[in-house]
Amino acid sequence: MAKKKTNTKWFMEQVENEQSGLKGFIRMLGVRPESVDDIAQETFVIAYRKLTMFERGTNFGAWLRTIARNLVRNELRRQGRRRVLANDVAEFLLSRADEKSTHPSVEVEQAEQHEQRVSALRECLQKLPERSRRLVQQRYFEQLSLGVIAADEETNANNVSQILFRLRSALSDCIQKQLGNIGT
Amino acid sequence: MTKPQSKREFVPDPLSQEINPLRDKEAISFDRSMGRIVDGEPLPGDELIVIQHMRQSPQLVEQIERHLAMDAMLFAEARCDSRAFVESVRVAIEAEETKSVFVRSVQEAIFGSTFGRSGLKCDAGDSSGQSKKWLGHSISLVLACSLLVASLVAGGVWNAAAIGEPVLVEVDRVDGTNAFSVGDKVDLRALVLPEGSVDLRLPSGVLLECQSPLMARFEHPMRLHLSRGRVDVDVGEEGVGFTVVTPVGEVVDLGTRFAVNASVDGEVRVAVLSGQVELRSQKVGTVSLVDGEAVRLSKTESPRRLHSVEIRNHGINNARKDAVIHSVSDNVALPKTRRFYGLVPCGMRDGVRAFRDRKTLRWEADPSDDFPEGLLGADLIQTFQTHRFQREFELQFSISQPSRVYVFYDARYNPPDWLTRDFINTGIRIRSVGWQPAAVVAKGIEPDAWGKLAIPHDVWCRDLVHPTSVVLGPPVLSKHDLNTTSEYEGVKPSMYGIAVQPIAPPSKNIGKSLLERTRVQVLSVSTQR
Repeated sequence: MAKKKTNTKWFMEQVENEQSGLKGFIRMLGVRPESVDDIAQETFVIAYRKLTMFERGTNFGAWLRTIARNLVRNELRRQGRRRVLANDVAEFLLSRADEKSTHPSVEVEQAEQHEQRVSALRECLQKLPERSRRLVQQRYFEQLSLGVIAADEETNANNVSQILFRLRSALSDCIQKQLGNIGT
Repeated sequence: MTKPQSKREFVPDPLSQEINPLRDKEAISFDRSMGRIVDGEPLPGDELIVIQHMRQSPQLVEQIERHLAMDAMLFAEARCDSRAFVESVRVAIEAEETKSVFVRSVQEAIFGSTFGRSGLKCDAGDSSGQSKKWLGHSISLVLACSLLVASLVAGGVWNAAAIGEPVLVEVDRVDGTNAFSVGDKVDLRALVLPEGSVDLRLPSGVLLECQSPLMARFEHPMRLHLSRGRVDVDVGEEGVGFTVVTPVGEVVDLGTRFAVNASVDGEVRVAVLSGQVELRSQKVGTVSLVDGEAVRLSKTESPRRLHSVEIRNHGINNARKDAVIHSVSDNVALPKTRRFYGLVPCGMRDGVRAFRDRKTLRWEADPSDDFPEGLLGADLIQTFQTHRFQREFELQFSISQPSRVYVFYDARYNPPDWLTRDFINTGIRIRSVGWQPAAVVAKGIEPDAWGKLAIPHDVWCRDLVHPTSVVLGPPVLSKHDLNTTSEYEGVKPSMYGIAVQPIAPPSKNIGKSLLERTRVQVLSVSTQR
């Protein structure tokens, strides 16, 4: 019983440490934003069930990502649920993720940089012009659809999508500059 | 019009950038398709375009990964509910523990068909005593059901022959009915609830909060046909995909919690309390709704916005059975806006959710004081931030009894004319707590001693001694404030909050608290006007 408690305590510490990076990884596999938390939670529950199979001292985050990849792969095969974006695109991204998993050093480096990237993002958001900031607010904080944003901005959904595209590119460039990397 | 770019400006305004006409058309096409896929709203053909390009160029694959990564970071920054997420994982892990159950079957008593009892272990309770209890419940349920079934069959609503497979349910909560007891385990094919409310937990972990008068039947454990009444559905990890079938279409849960109400006139109302659902019907095709959105559906009309939804909170000791607030609505006429106002009877308290479109924001006491006693237990209207920019915005609701109406207005700004004209500033403050660092509304706010971002709200009040309609204006700055060079230039106030507390007739009130004294002053001022 004592050992189980210790395991649970240790596991919950890992949940706190890994949850942010895991969610970002799941999104990069093409999962819908509103389903990212679902799949992240499923990943942790499965990891808990299989905790005896994990060797402490090895990369827990990488192990979680393996579980997450399998979950997303299952989602692509299921009928009825629609927790991923365009299926073929997600399949493609999943294959890429499988290839990257054979180079763990890349993943470790990305995980270490995560907190720095989040700080950089916050600084970059503060530097956005007002209209761009309003768009970020509407899309990500208020989770408005493209159509509603378009109506508010008196344009069409396609234009809003393009503006968001340029905005993400601009923020990504800004983050890179903040982190001191030249070029992307 | 964009601001001049300074050398310190790291982020050029994407809105002012023109598309380079010399840029390859193929590249433009890929960018557009990719953008729509990342935004979750692809057009037919987008996926094919993106796949074809990605197969030819690794750089384009990196580009889409980059966009998805940025999209993920922005969503994570917006939600920032890591505490709640970690807690949900903890709960899910604890639920891995299985428990012994006691099983009964009520089906024979109602429909006379035979169903085997599940071969699960009995608990250590007194089985003979529980058997008697079961019999008592069966009889009262049969009597209640027969009346309701008779009325509904007469109306052509219920087809008793079209019954699916039995589903083992556990009774989590009971209120106002003797049909069940907490802890009961029953095999149900159909549920007829003429009075009260019950919470039923299904094998998948799905929780159904059922409100009478209700008629529903299970097709199988993941599919419920709702003929009449309201069901709030809260799906767990295994319950995603749970479907409620209504007379006008299906509601498929894609994550967490929603409410469905089928009325005798054939209208169905669907509200998403958390997560996302999909509506599927012949009339509308497939429509997605997310947290904070609600619609009204019928067989003959296009979907219409549902302006307000009562939010059930069984944790509240509801001493008042009659609602004070009715028919909340606004004058927003944007296409595709489906936001609803949450009505929480007796819901105002320290830590309650403040806005319907921001699940992390809570109303809390000012750090220097306790939560105002006069606000406790007031009926709460959960507004939303979405339309605070609309200068012509109007919010209207009606009250059914003499009441004190409270408006919680952003204390950083001069209040608008409509507020100062009709309301009194009580001098009391509460806070909306849990804002994200990147939120436009919270710009300039420093974290408090607990590291939280909070916006102070002045509590304004107005006494209404008769049932009436109330109209509130937009939260935008008054004309006086528009001429200032505030450091918050370009940033607008938070949407205000609303609560309503019924009051006794004026002659019976002797104020003791600050709010009570203020109430007396308000009445005096009203009389003098």
